[in-house]
Order: sequence, then C-alpha cells, then structure tokens
Amino acid sequence: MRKSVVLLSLLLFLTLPAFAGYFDLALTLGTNVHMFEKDLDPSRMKLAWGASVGLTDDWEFDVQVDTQLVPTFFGSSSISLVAQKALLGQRSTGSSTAGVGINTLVGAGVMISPYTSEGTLGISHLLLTLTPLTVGSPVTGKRERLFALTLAYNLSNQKFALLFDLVKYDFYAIGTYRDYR
Amino acid sequence: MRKLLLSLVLLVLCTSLSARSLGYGVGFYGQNVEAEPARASSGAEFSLVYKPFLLPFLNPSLQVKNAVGTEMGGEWVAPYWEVGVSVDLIRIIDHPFNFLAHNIIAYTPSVSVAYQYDPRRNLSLASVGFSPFKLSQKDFWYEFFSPFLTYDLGSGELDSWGVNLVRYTFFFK
Repeated sequence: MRKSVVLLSLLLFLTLPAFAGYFDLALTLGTNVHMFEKDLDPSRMKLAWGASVGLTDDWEFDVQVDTQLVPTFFGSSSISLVAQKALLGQRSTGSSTAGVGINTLVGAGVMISPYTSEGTLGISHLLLTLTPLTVGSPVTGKRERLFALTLAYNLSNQKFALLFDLVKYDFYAIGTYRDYR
Repeated sequence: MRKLLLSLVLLVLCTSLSARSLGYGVGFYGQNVEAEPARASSGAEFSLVYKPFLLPFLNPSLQVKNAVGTEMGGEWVAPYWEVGVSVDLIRIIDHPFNFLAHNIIAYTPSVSVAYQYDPRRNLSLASVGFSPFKLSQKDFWYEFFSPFLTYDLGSGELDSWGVNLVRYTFFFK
C-alpha cells in the first residue's frame, strides 16, 4: 500500500511539468567515482547513465545509475534520484529562445544501492549535490554538467561518503528548440 | 643513404601537413591488473600528441602518455608511462554520432599500439587500444569509452585491462 502511494505520488510529480510547458527529457551519459566507502563499494571507476527530466523552468529531476567498470567490468550499480534547482537563471525558457547557457545546480535526493552494512538493496544514502558548472540547455539540445560533487550520508553506518562526477552529457530528446518551432 | 632517410624523416616531422599538429590531452582512466587486484587504479591520464598529417584514412599520430591515480588502498601511484602510435582508421563527417557534439564533427575511430612501462613493478608491457567513439575537429579530439589491454613483453600473457572513459586532446600548434 505504502509503495503504491509513493509510486503514484512520484508519477504525479513527474507528469506535472507536462502541463506547465517546461517539460524536457534527456539521456545522460558520464563518469562517476564513489569515494571514502571502499569497504562497501570497491569501485575505482563508474559509468554514469540515466535520464534528466525538466520539471519547471528552474527545477529538474535526475535519475542516475552508476555502474562499476573497474575493477569489475559492469559490476555493481547504484541509482541516485535527485531533484536539482538551477541557481543562475532559467534552465529552460519553454520556448525557442535559448536562455541561460551557463548555470549551477544544487539539489538533494536519495541513493538506492547495496552499499549498506548489511549489503541489502534499499535506500542507502541521503544525497546533497552541487554541480558548479553546466554548459548548454535543454533548448539547445545538449548540456554538459561538470565537476559535480555529492555528499552522501550512509543511513546504515551513519558515515559520510563523496561522489564525484567529472563530466556528464545530457542529450535532450524532448524540450529542444525543435519542439518550439 | 641513412643520413638522407633521417633528413627526410626530420623534414616530414618539421613541416607537418596538418594545420595544428602538436597537442596535449587529459583523460579519466581506470585499470585493472589481472594478477594483482589490489593494484587496480583510476585517475588522470596525461598525454602529448604529435599528429603530422590529416589523412582521410589511416591517419597516424605519435603519443606519449602518463597516468596518475590511486590504487585500491588509496595510495597515489603512476601506474604507467607509454610511448606509441595511434592510427585513425577513417575520417567521415556523415555519421550517426553528430548528436554528441554541438557542431558538425568528424568521426575518427582509432586503434593504438604502444610500449608501456609500469614503474611500480619495473615491468615492460605492450599495449593495444581501441577508441570506437573518437570525434575530431581541427584542434580537438574527443574520445569516449576507449578500452585497452596490456601484455607482458616477457611472458606474452595478458597483464592488465582498462578503460579511458573520456579523453580530451587539444592541439595548440
């Protein structure tokens, strides 16, 4: 019952922007490093992949899967669900006008992973994230997110870890200038 | 005869046919040593590149690389130095990967062969690499998801494997 309510709320939350006129959707690809939790996640390098959903002109919701590449090729994965706000202006104008090309994102969310003391899959971390620099926008069709730092609080052992994403690319399928012609 | 050949080689190197031929690069590498998992490392890879030509097929370049990163235990190491040759197999503009860049860009997948030295183990290795998602502009290379294998030059056995998740090379001269 509780799961259904959460799922329904999430779906409702995601469909809201479709009526607000700012909806955009991107495929995300990039890099990830999980630091200071080597006993739980021994990865040295991860591939970041997922989706970025525009909720309003300055809020977005990002789903990011981080999959281990080294030392185990396509080893364990985690999923981060993060809501982020653009700090330097509209992330999308909802029109064919490009708007702000450079931005900063700050956000919060949760990580679902097996990186817990018990090794069980579930909500493992609370996340606070800062992306100091983004270049591009949904309207232009592409965006780079650079040097993202995420503070991760592990709920199972009450310790902090750090996630670092050197670069992530967002390739927009919906919400670009092509949709506003 | 040998002097003449040397002079010709020097002439080719000095009068490169490519507009910008000298570049430096930085990438994000990860490497796993098969026999010693504790030596798996990741970090930054720095490179110097000399690209004398701009051929549509089999375009060669000389590359010197050094990787600096941390091992499983957190120790800072320089897991490899490398000298080798990379060859862009083809150079095409009309390809399905233009969506990856903001401008029209050439698709130039490449293969590489190099001598690699691991100073941690005083080990000489042969490295082979493949860069399937390499995009090139006049003064920039963008490479994504480039795997490599290294073989022990003594025994001929596979020593390590790795990936350069991203690598950016800028040609300045």
